[in-house]
Amino acid sequence: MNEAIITRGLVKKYGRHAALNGFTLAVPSGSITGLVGRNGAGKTTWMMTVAGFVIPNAGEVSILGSGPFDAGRHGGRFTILPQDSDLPNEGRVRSLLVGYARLQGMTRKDAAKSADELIEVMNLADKANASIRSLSHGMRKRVMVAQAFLGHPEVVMLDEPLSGLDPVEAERLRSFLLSLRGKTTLVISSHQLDDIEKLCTHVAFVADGKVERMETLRAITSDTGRIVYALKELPSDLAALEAECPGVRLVVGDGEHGRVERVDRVGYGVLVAEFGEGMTVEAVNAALLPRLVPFGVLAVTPGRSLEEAYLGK
Amino acid sequence: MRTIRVALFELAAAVRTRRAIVLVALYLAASLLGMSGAITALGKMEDRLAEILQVEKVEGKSGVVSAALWKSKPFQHLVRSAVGDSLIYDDIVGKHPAELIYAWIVFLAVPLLTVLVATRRVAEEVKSGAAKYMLLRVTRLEWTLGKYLGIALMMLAGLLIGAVAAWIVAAFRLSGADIPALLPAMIVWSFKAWFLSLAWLGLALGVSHLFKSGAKADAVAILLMIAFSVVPAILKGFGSAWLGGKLLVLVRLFPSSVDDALWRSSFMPVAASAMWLLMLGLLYLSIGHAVFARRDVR
Repeated sequence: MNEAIITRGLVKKYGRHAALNGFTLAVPSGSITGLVGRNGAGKTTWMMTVAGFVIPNAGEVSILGSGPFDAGRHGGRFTILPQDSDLPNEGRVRSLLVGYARLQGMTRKDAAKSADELIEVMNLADKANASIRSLSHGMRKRVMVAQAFLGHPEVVMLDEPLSGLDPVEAERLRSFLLSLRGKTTLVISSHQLDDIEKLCTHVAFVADGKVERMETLRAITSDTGRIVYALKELPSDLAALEAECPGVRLVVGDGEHGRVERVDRVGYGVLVAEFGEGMTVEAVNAALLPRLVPFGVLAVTPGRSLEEAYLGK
Repeated sequence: MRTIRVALFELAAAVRTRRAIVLVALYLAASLLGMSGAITALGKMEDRLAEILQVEKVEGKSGVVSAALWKSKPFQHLVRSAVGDSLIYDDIVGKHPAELIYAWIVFLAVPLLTVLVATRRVAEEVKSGAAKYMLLRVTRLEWTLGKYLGIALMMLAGLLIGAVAAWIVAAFRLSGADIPALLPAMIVWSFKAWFLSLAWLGLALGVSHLFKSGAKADAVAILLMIAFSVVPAILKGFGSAWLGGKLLVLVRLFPSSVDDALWRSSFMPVAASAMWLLMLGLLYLSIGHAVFARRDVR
């Protein structure tokens, strides 16, 4: 089985408005797939539909090759971090997680072990016996994330997992999610395209209730006929360089313009090479890089950022 | 199995939120105040009746005259007319008033307390989103049945504790009967009331499945509770003229038309009535669940 989730032609209407309008998406097993789209594009509705919370008007869903969500079949193998869903206030962190794990069919011992592991991962050890009511918004969010990973599920969908987390906890969660790459199929919906770019192997652009484009992150960010060079100093005669590399147009980046891999240096110039479909990244680099070496090449980044690709810059 | 786990989850949540404690407190209050008030009233009635019927008036604890009254033919005739059902009369005649007072209190309190406790349980969890964390792990049917079972167990605990409390009051304030024998009798009445509560619980929880707002669910459940109490009485009174004899069986779809049999002592009619009440509860619940199973949980 190559796809963890397959949805075909999903339609969900609220009155005249179609929240899903033929939503077709196949999520590869082991991938981290990011859903990118505007508010109301249909990302959350799709997740809720796959999880069985929303009943579609038409279309098909198959999770792990065994049909639409059924807690009997998929409980513990497929989970979700739903958006805007409160945990029961009266629960205590550890007992709530153990309770959820027990409902998944885990033994008392395994449930306790899984809950404790996730409490550690989510940095909640000092709040293990605190009531949900007493937790801050960010801490609650971490408990919500923790419940989604009880018992090592095969597929986890996360709706805005990093929103509401402080920078330290957000980084901790990013590291945790990255540690699952290749082991657990993750679907992440987020408006933070930087996060999607850091975490995901695949990206789906969603608009008007359907998927407009679904490809690997590399394909989306690298096929755009651009290479961004970070240089110690910028060449003064761009026209001469362009003449030596036919088909390449050179533009000086202004910081907002161009995507640069991390450069450990304050103060550097950005040069963007744009080229047509007939040329490849390798060919442009072969022609241009030797001529840029004298200017001190700090980084070479082909393609655009996900944000640029999404916004069509 | 997962239904039982949901039930235990519900029970644990009820204890943590003090919902269970509130329920037990309500039963205690109903039992204690009801029993105490009824015994005071009984004492006054006994004094008055003793004067009218010219039986011996006893100073001190209540109950002695009542015990004597049960044996008086005119009083028996009075009660038989009031009950209206000779089978029920035959079963209750001779029982200690405290036992009957307790039965009357719990049969009266159970529908209201059940509706108060259960009507918001599904609606509010769906509204807050907490239901999603459960429905990832158990089916909607398991969740529904688990909630029903959990709240039913909580009701039973409340009724049993209430029975003990009422018995303690009776033991202190009554005489003229074998007080220790009252406790098992009251516990039996508690179980009978519990079966009655299962029907009302099905109604309350069924209604809760239809709404996302606890307040709306409350309002509809209370309206239905009133309707379910009034309609069978009307149907019984005028139904045969309006509906014909065969359609009068519809009356049996209402809990209050079945609970008469719970006053009986014989096992078979009580068991049949208890099973019917359970079936009614599950019927109401299944109607609510049928809607819930087809609706979005957003």
